[in-house]
Formats: sequence, C-alpha cells, structure tokens
Amino acid sequence: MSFLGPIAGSMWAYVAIAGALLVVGAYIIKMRRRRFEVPFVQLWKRVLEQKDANALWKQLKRLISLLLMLLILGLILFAALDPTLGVADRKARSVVILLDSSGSMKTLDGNAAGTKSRIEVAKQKADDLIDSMGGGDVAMIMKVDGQATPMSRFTNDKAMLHKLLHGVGRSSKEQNLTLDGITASDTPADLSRALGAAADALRDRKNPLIVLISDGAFPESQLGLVEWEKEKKSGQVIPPATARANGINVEPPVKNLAAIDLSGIDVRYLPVGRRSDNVGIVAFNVRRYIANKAAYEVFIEIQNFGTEPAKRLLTLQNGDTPVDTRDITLGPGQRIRQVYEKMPASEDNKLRAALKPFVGPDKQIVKGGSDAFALDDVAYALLPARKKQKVLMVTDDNLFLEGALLVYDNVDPVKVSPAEYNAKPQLADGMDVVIFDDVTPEVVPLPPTSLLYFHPTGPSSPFTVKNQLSGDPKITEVDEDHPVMRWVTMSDVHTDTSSVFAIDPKKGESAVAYSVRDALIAAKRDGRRKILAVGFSLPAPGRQAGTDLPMRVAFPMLLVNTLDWFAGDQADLLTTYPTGQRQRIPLDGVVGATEAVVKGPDGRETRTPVLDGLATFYGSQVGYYDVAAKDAAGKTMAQIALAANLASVEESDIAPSVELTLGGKKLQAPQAFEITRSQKLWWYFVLLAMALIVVEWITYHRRITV
Amino acid sequence: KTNIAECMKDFVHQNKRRGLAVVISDFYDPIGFQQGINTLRYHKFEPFILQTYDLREASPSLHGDLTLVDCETGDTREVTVSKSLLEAYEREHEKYCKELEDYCTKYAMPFFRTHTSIPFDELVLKIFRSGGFLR
Repeated sequence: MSFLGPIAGSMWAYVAIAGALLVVGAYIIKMRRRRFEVPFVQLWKRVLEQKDANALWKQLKRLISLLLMLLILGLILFAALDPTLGVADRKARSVVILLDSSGSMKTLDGNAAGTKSRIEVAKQKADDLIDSMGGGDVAMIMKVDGQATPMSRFTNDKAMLHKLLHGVGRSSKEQNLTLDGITASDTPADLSRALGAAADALRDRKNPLIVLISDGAFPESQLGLVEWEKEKKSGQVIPPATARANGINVEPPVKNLAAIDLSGIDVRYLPVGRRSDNVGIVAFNVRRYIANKAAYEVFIEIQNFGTEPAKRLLTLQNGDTPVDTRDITLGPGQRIRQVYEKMPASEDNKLRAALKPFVGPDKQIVKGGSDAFALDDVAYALLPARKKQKVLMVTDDNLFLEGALLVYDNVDPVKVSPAEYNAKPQLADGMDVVIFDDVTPEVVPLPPTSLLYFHPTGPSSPFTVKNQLSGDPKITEVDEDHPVMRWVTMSDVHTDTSSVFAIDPKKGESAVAYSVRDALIAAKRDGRRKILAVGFSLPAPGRQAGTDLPMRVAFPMLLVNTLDWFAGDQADLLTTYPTGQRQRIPLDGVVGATEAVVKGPDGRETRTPVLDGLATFYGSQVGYYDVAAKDAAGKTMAQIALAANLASVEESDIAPSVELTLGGKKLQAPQAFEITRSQKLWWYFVLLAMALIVVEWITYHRRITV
Repeated sequence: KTNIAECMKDFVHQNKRRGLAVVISDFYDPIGFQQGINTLRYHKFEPFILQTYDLREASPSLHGDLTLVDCETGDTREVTVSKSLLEAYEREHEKYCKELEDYCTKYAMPFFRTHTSIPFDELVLKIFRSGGFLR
C-alpha cells in the first residue's frame, strides 16, 4: 500500500494530534446537567449503588465511546492520505500521450470509406492506450498542434482521460458542462515544443514514457532536434592548449542548445493514416504593383504529393467574382507555379484559390481527381485595402505640385489659395491630407487629417525651425528605413535655401533627410495623424528660392510615399500568413492601445496584446481574420484584415510515416502496460467512519454508551 | 424535612389518651419509617398506615444527563437516566413500598397504599369498604 494524498506527513501528524486532543478534551470537559427535583433522592441512591456494582463496565463504556470517536477521526485522517493498493509497483509508469492534432490529422483516411479522419483514429488508439493502463500508471494527454497544450495533469482516472479526448455533452443549461474534446486544428505540428513540454512534465518521475500518436508529418529539422543521452563527463580533461602542444587534435564538442533532452525517457510511436495522395496549395499570395497600385499580381504554388498523376480544377475568386478557372495536371511529386499578372482592381479585396475535384465527361470524379485532405485545397489572400484620399492643396497655382498629384490616381485633389484657407479653415474639414505649399497657417485641421508642409516658417511650424541654410545645401543622407524615403534618391537635388529643423525625438520627431547633420525633411506622428515637413520651397511663379526636386523622379515618389504613409498603406506589408506561427502585425495609427481584438474565421473574438503599435497574431484556422485596436471609448483606432493559410509542405505531404526516426533513433510501438493491481481505499475508510458515526449516534441516544 | 420518628415522639407525648392513630405519609424518610411507627406501638396506640404517593414519583419520565435534587434535604446526585435505570428505579420504589407493607403486616397494623390521583372522599370510602365498614 502506498499513500498518494497531497498532504505532507508532518502536516498530517499535526492535524491528527490536534484532532485527537480536541476529541479527548471534549470527553474530559463535563457537560452542564439539567437540575431536577425529586421527593426522595435516597431511592435514587439505592438504585445507583446497585448500578455502581457495574462501575467498571460504565467506565469502560465511556472509554469505548472515546475510543470510537478517536477511531472515527483516525479513519477520516487515514482516508485523507489516499491509501492505494498497488501503486508502489515499480513497473508503474508516467505516460505523456502526445496526440498530433495538426492539420494533416484532418485527412479522411481513417477507414476505407473515407468518412473517418486520422484524428478520430488517433483518439481511438489513445483510448486503447488508456484502457490498457495498469492501476499504478498515470497519464497526461497533450494536444500537439502549433502549440503544445496539456489537457490534464498526471492522473489514473481513465474516465476523465476519455472525456478529455472525446468531450462531454451539455448536461444542463445551468451547469454548462461542455467539453469539446480534442479536434484537429489548421496548423502544422510543433513537435519540438511538444517533446520539450512532455520531457519537462516527466522530469523526476519514475519510468517516464512518451507515446506519440501521429501520422509523422514533421519537418526533418524537428525530428533531429533531440538528445537521447546527457553529455558524458570524461574523467580526464585535456586542456585544448595542452592538446595542441602534444599534437592531439581536439575538436570542440558541438552541442545544440535547442535540442530536447530526452535522456532516460522511453519514447514510443503509434502511426495513423493510410493514404498518401494529395494535391495542395502550398503557397498563395497577392501584391499590388508598386507603379500601378490599381492592379495586382497573384502567385499560386501547387504540389502533387502523391505517386500518381493528378488532375484538379483550379479556381480563383476575388470576393464573389470568379477571376479564373483552369484545369491543371500534375505528375507525381510535381510542383507548379501559377502567376496571374496585371489583374484589375475591384471593390473586393479578398482572394480565394481553390482546388476542386476533377470531374470527367460522365460527371464522375476521374482517377486521381480528388484527395482525402481538404484543408490545403483552399487558400486565402488579401489585397491591402486602398482608399481614395481627399487631398486639399493650399497653394497659389503650383503646377509642379498639381502635376505630381495627377500621376497618382488614388487621390481626390482639391485646391484652395492660402487666402481662401485663412478666411475659412473649415475648408479642410473632412480631408484626409492637407498640403501647405510655402504657407504656415495658424489654424490647422484637427486629427486625423495628416499634414504635408513645404517650407514651413514661424511659430506655427510643426517642427521648430533652427536656422536657414543657404548656398545650395546638398542632401547628403536620407533615412531609407522610413516609408517616405523608400526608393527615393535625393543626392542630386539642388535647393537655394532650406530651413533646418530642430528634431526632438522625445516628441516622436525624426529626420528623414539631412544635409550633413542638419535635418531638412522631418516627420512625426501627432496622435492619430502624421506630419511631414520639407524645409525648402517648391518652385512657383513669383517665388525667389526654389529647388529642382520637381524635375527629379524622386518628387512624385516622395509624394506617393508620403500619401501612402499617411494612409497607412505600406508596400511591404504582408497580409497573408501561415497558420501556427506567431506574427507581429503593425497596426497603423494605434496610440496607447495595449490590446486588440482578433475576430477569427469562425466569428470568435479573442484578445491579443499590442506593443509599440505591433499586435501579436496567431492563426489557428485558415481563413480571414480582422484585427482591431479600440480606444477606451470603444472606437476603432486601427484595423487590419489578415488571411491565414496552412502553407506547409510537411502538412500537405500526408503520406503517413509507418516508422519514425527521432534523433537518429527509430521509435518502437508501445508495449502493453504491465497490469498492476490498484485499488483506491479512501472511500472504504470514509464509509467505515460514517458507519461508526451512525453507531455512536444510535448508542448515545439509546444511552448504551453513556 | 420528613422525620417520622421525631414527629411520632411529639405526638405520643402530647396525646395521653391511647387509641387509633392514622398516619398519612409517603414515608420517604431518610432515616427510615420503622422507628416512628414503633414509637406509636410502644405507647399503646393502634397505628393505621396510609401511604400516599404521586404516580410521577413511582414512574418518573426523566431522560438524559441530570442532577437530581432532593426537594426536602437538598441532597444532589448526578445521573444519566437511561431506560434501564428508570426500570431499576421503579423496581426500587416498589420494593420500598413493599418493605413498608411487609412491616405493617408483620406487626398486624392496617396498611393502605394509594396515590394522589384518587380523590380523598373516594379514598375514604375505599378504605371503609376494604375494612368492612361499608358495603
């Protein structure tokens, strides 16, 4: 017998002593008796004198009553120690069942009819494993997908382990007892993370065992990242310098710090899956052209993972609008790439590529025309949203500025003179961008309207003007990392004079173009809007100072980049990500938000932290996501739509691995568990204690034990 | 406080004319009833013993842990009254009454036992009938 109770021995002893003292104390303390008048107490004395002949028995009865109470206390305390028969068996094991719940486990090849998925078969195997557990064995189930999720602690409660696998239904509305059970997710499996978590859980446990139930779809890099033996310390260590002096070639030991330490742990493998034929989309992305943001290009990569030729119908949709449909034929193992060039923009920005079964003339699916793994037959992508910006130019007929804006068809420009603006600043209300050409008004529109200044002066300048540079100051350096300066070359730009801005990084100001150390172009975020100031004037009629910037290619690029930056449109922003990976997504315009709401493809909302304007995104399902950061009032500050795809060659390669080699060691199937008898005894003791309490109650009230 | 012996002693000294002496009592005397009755006998009286008691005294309905207090002497006794103890007490009460009756029979004294639930006139008639004064 052994004791599995969570109470420490010393604590148990303290409680036992305290309980015994309480019981004995209760017997020592005399109870207050009722007084009752009788006419002739002598008679009672005579009766009691006869009874006193049995005084020993009377004392004994009280002693028996005390011993009975102590016995009841002892039984309850003993039950608290969780006495169990058979656990001390040395063959009893601690088992971690790693249940692969990655995307490939959704493959419908669990039975010949193709109606049962691999995850269901895996759960059946886990059931068998749990049922074969001996009384002393304890097990923990861990779900393995992009994350490693322990579903329980170590337990020998088989019923609970089965419930964790299969879930339980809703028993009543009040209790709300629902447990979904383990289902396959849309992510690749992270075996290294799972093995690491399992090894940590099994540390210092006797007879540790990991049973991996999987189809074996793991990258080679993860399968090799295992250490089976701890680094042995040799008795004699030769210092490298001494070794070199003696001509001994000493190679420094190579140790992979990321390797999972599985020393002393028995790892077994239970394979699932039967089919290997699959055609899947392994890459799908879309981007706008840099020069023509109204058009876009689509890239699709499809691979046949089977050993037979395959045919499919590839469809591409933009929103609800079909874009293209074509038949594709792939040889065994062949990978093809489809590029759709110069696709015209439309109102929708959600693209969806799908592989559909190939139907022959007889309306039947042809041989090699379908597969059992549907998850990689659909892929999603998003075009970065484009919004036509309303731009107000406050200028006196500057053709260079107006002409440059004309090349950009994503703006809706309006022009007013400085005098008109000063007379009625409300003209800027509702504008996305206001460009002040050589004018620095005192009244500027409120955020979120972004502002672009050319040659701001005076106290109303968005950046403090430190001094003026004259004599053709050259732009010697630009901040290429700033979105405004992407692909812009300004080394050949000449200016007559330029203001120099005093940059205060504490206010979020930064210089994006310098003349040696003087900031000539500066940018900053001002709450929910952005401001860019160019220190020099554009050439215009009647203007003394000027620049040849408008004659350079850099000028329209600078304007377009600035407007894109204002709009939060970044050319290198990715909106399509693989599932099962944690990504940091920039949320443009977020100020002060610490978390964002992620709405998944199934409509469920989760919260994710936002740090430095970057939201953490983890896609567990394929489809479209919405990430939105809201302010304290619940108003959306920034929002971005994202798409998540499986995009994993390892997961799409559904061919099951009958054998699995982990760290150079071939994993064996688990042997049947040693049957060890075990019986929980605590409830017997509790029952006995309850029976004794009933006996004590009856005998007391019948005055037998008093 | 019941003290039959002292009481009878006073009685015989105050009443020189000998005759029938009817003694009505429960005879719950800590020092015993014999000495008092003998005092009457030795002074040539003819004692008639009428023992009366309350039925609740013969079969008390007590239960549990009690401190019994003698209503005359103030003596106390702690008891845990159980069913067996009550039965023993009833037996002891009966035995005490029987002792009194046997004592009276032994010395040819008329003895009559009654309890307080019988009205006094009925009791008198009952005694007369048992003595043959009435039919």
